[in-house]
Order: sequence, then structure tokens, then C-alpha cells
Amino acid sequence: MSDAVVVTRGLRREFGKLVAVDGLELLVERGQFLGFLGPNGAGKSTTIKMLTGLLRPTSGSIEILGLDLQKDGVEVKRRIGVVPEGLALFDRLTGNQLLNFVGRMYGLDRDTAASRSAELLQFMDLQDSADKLVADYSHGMKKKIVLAAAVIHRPEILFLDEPFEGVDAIAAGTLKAMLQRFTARGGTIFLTSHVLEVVERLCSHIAIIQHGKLVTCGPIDDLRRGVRLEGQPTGHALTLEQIFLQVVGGVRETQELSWL
Amino acid sequence: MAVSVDDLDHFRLLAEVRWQAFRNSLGMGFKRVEVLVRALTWTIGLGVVALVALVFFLDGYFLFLKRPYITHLLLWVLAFVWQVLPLVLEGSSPALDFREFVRYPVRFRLFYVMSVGYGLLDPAALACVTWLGALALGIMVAHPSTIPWVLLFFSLFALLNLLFNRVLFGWIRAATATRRRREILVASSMILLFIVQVAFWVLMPQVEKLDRKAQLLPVIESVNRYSPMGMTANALYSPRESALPALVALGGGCLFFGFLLYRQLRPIYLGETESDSEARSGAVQAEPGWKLPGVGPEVSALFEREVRYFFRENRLWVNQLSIWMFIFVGTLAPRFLQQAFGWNAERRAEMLYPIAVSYSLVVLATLTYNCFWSDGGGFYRLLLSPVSMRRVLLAKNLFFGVAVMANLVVITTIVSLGISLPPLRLTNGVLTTLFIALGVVSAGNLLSGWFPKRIKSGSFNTKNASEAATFIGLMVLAVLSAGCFVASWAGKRWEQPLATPALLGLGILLAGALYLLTLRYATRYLETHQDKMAAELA
Repeated sequence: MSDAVVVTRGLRREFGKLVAVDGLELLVERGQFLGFLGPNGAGKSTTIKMLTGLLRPTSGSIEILGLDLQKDGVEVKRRIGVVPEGLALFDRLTGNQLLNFVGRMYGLDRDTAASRSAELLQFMDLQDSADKLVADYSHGMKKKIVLAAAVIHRPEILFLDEPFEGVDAIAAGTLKAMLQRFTARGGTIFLTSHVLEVVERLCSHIAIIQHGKLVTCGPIDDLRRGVRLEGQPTGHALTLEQIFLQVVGGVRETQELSWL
Repeated sequence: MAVSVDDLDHFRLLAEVRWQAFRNSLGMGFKRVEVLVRALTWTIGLGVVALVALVFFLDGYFLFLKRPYITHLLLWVLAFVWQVLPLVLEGSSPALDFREFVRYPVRFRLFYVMSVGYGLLDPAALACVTWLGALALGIMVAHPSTIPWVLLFFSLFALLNLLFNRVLFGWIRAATATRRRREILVASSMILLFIVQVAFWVLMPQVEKLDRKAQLLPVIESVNRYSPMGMTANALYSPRESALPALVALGGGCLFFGFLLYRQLRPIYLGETESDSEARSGAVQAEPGWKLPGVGPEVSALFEREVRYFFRENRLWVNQLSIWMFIFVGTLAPRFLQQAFGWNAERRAEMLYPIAVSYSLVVLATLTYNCFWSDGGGFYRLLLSPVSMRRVLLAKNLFFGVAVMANLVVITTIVSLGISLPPLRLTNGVLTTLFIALGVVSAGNLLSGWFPKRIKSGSFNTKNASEAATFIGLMVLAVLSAGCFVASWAGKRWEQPLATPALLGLGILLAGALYLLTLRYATRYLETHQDKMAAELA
């Protein structure tokens, strides 16, 4: 039995004349913590939207957990959890009501949804704000509640779009520990973030996309050894930032603004 | 407070931004129909403005001296439109919060001027200025000797209206800035509405008894004399006696409201804007996790969410409460209906129930024309969930059905307090409700997909749906009402009372079939256009 949980073949998405994703071939295996990176406008969000069933590909196929996303979209959604780019919150519900709502949308029975909601609120340190409207939450609290909503149904894969943006260091520590425990127990995480230090610390694998195409993919340690910067001594381990800049085309020559 | 060239540049910039926001809003329609309906609305609106301007001009030119009361009346109309129309149009005008300008390097003086200027660029204010200009032109052309007085007093009158309107908006914004204040405002409005209706009912017989010419007219005349409208007009008719008091009163009014506006704007300029984040306290909340019989947890959860959103959107249930209150007063105050509409007991028994049911359905129907209105960014959550769009629509339709039926029960109960409802009338009421509800919800599912519109929660005056959806929805409602009318007419025509429920029953079967068809089509449409929908709603 293959351990591949996310497989894309020739994945392409066009917006008019713009090709946002161009023949993406991706393979993610169970238990991987994959950092999906790319410069702005590279096609990361479009890819993650297609992988989570929010956007139809123009062509190509997506297989999640062995299921064809086009045919078995509902079943795939039942088994994945998502922290989307725009948070996607019903902010006129309280935190407790929101988690209960999401849990039941994933088919959890009433008691299970209630007990998991309470547990998650406690874990995320939101128990004192459980009866406040989500609209009244701070940005960091919203991030925490949306992450709680993403895991309440115990998904097998988590798709996280910038999950740590705006989260304080203490909360980020809690979330990271939770995510690492999730992968240690066989869960798979597909993470996008612009904070390379976070990706470097958490991820086991890296995929880098540019102009809608996958330019590199593999274990982070292999990339550190396999990619060399010009002038860098052989065998010298690179930082993720150096790898990223090398792969996406290196550092641009610094331009100057005459008026600044 | 002198306006500099720099200020005028900023004012021009503000006008440009407002125009661009309006122009962009025309192109933001999900479909061309939306643009067409807006264009139609604006063409009709501009035509009305032009026509009214002609009336104002003709009055100034021909009737200024012959019929002075018409000029007085026109100034009252103008002031009413200037103050009330912006409140009505707030929901459909382009979203541009001039308070955003505070982030730019502007001095307070300029910020103040921009606030006043923003009010002047409001469509209603522009229309009123046009009408006032037309009236002034008519008077000045026909009576050149009045030119200085017309220019002076009409300018003051316009400035007073402008400043008062800005202050009024400021009060309303302050009263709706936080959730708690909105709740207080809603409760006060309800009480006020009730008092007004009861007062009307109590006072009507007394007013009827008055000798209108001898007792009522002097009251009206004295109110007019001391109003800005009366003072402005009188200053033109008899400048020697009235100009100075009018100048003092209008100028004083401008200074007073100018000062109030200063008091409102200064804290905003200093960054003391009030946020919506006042925490709820002590509110009784039903436990989450409702379980509806016969449907799965997903539909139960979606239904629960709809109910919670409905009750958190004050203006929705306040609309409903207002209708019930009106019916309550109408039912328990037969004299009021007798005097207001000339309804005797028989007529009342015949008319009140159908009208109450129909009117409340018209208001409730707007909930379906844009059924994703409250989802906003949460629409993504629906797409991410393992629930088909069909079930989402079914849950929303179920909520609408329950709301309609609950409303029918309340109305029937209220009407039964004062009028004995025969079983046939009751049956017809239930059947009519079912027929219209099925028709409306069929159209609503399609319109919600075709013309999704994001609605900002808590906004004091916002439309539930796009112009196109509302327009088409009203057409559908007209067709359904015509169907009900035909059923009722046939029963009378054939002298077969049972023909009406039979025809309505047939209509329900047809509407049910139509509902299933449109549900399938709407589901498919939503699934294939989900990314566009999400972009529009999020």
C-alpha cells in the first residue's frame, strides 16, 4: 500500500490568460510535515485552494488519501482539516458555538462536538473567551480558534496557510507542539508560510514553487546538502533562506530609488 | 474657517474618490443584469430629480408671489428629503468611510471641511441642492430684485441642512457604534414605535373633532413661522421685517450645528473612534449543538447558525416585530382602522388577516434573495466542510420555512384576539403562505447564486440583497400574488368557496415541483461557481 496521501498530476489552473499553476506534479507521503514555499504570486494559495476543493483545476488530477478529489470531494473534505488564508470564520458566533458548529458540520455527534470544543478551547487558552463573539477576538485568538476548528474532527491531513501569522510567541509554541505531535502520530501537514525560520524548524520536507511550477521538492536535510550556492564551500550546510533564494533565482541586485 | 486652495484640492480629490467608488460599484455586479438594474434605477432617479427641479423652477418663476404657501411647502419637502433620503440610501451608496482620511496627513480644519464636503456629495444632498438652485433660479429670473436675499438665505438654508445632516449621521453612528448601544437603540425604537401608534390611535378621534381651519391651521402656521423653512421663505417675501430674525436664526443654527459637528469630529480626528468590540455580558445563550428531528447533524448545525445570526441582526427581527405591533394595534383598535382606512367590522374581518399575512411575507421574502448574506468569509467554511451545497441550501430553506410558519402562527394568534377567523379563511391563509413561500424560496435559491452580496453585520441601514435580486424577487412575488388573487377571485366568481383552497393546493403542488427543479439547478450552479461566490462574499 502506497503511503502517498497527496498526489497531483499535471495540475494546472488558468485565470483568463494568467497561468497560476502550471503542470504541478506533487507527492506528499503520510507523516510528512511539508513546507510549501514560493515567492509572492508563485501559485501557493491557488494550489492549496485546489487541494482543499475550493477551486477547480483547469486540468490535471488531484488524489488525496487515495481518493479522486473531483469524484469524492465530500469524503476527502471529511478527512482533511484546513486553516485557510482568509480564516473563513462565522464571526457572529461565539468561540464555543463556532467549534460546535464546525464539529457537527463534520458529522460529529452532539456530545463529542461539545466535549472536543471544550477541550480545544482549554488547550488554546481560549476558555475565558468561549462565550465571546469571534468578531470580538484579537487576530491571534482568531488564528487559534480557526486552528482548533481545523482539527476538531481529527483529520488525517492538515492544510495550513500562514497559521502563525499574528500569533504571539507563547501561543505559537503551543501550536507548534500540537502540530509536531500530530505528525508524530501519523498525521500529515501541508504548510505554507513566509517565515522561513518557522518552516525550517518544523518541516521535515520542503517543496518550492515558482511561476506555478514545482522547482524543488524533498527532505529538508537532502536539500541542505544537495543545493549549493556559488562560492559556498562544498559540504557546508545551508540555511533554508539560502536554499530558497538560490532556488527561486537568487538575490536580485539591489535597486535604488533615486527619490528615497 | 476660511477654505484655502489646498483645501479645495482635497475637496476635489474627495469628489473624485466618491465618483470613482460609485463608478467601480457599477462594474462590480456579478452579472450584467445587476449593472442594468442599477443603471435603470439611476436613470429613473435622475429623471425624477430633473422633473422635480422643473417643478421647483416653475414655482419660483410663476407662483412665487401668487401662491406663497407652495414655496413654503416645497422647502419643507426639500428639508425632509435632505434629512431622510441619505438614511434610506446609506445601504446602497458606495462604501467609503471618510473617517479613513484621518490616517492621511490632514489638519483638523481640512478634515472638518472634508466631512462637510462628503455630506454635500451625497446623492440626496446633490438632488436637494439642484432643487434649491432651480427654485432660486426661477425666483431670481422672475423677480431680479430678490437676488441678494435669495442667494443669502438659500445658502444659509442649504448650509444648515448640510450641517444638521452631518450631525444627525454622527449621532446615528455613535448610537450604533457598539453592539450594546445598538441593542438599546433597537429597544428604544420599538417602544417609540408602539407609543406613536397608540398615540395616533388615541389622538385621531380628537383631531377628527377639531375644526381644521379654525384650530389646526394656526398651529401649523406658527410651527412653520419659527421653522428654518418658514423663516427662509418669509425672509424673501418680507425682507424688512423677517430678514434680520431669519439671519440670526439661520446663522445661529449653522453655528450651533457647526459646533456640534466640531464636537463629533474632534475625537475622531484624535483617533478616539469607537470599536464594535464591546464584550457581551450576562446574555442568556442557548447551548450550542441543537438536534433537529429527521435531519442530520450538518443540517441541524446549519439551521442553528441561521437562527443565531437572525437574532444577532437586530434590524431583521425588528422589522418582524414592527409588523406584529402594527397588526396588534390594528386588531385591538377598530376605531383606528375605521378612521384611517374606513374599514367597518365586516371589511376588517375580510382584509386584516390577508394583508397582515401578505405584508409579513414580503418582508420575510427578502431573507431568501441573498441567502448567503450572513456567511461572509464563513462561506469558505461551508466549502471546506464535507457537506454538499444541496444540504446547505436545504438548511437555509428550512430556516426560512420555519420563520414563515412561526410568523403565520403569531399573526393568526394576534388577529384572532380581535377578529373571529372562520376555518376557511384560516385554511386559505395557510395555503397562501405555503404557496408564496415555496415560490419565493425557489427564486431565492437561484438569485442567491446569481447575485451574491456581502452584507456588513451591524450596519444601521443596509440592504439584504443586491438591487437586481431585489428587483427580480419583487417581480416573482408579484406573479405569485397574482396567482393567489386568481384563486380568490375564482372562488367568488364560481360561488364555490372551496375552489380557492383547491386552486391554492394545486398551486402548492406546482410550486413544490418548481422548488425541486430550482434546488437542483441552484446546487449545480453554486458548485461550479463556488470560487466566484467566495470571492464576492468573503
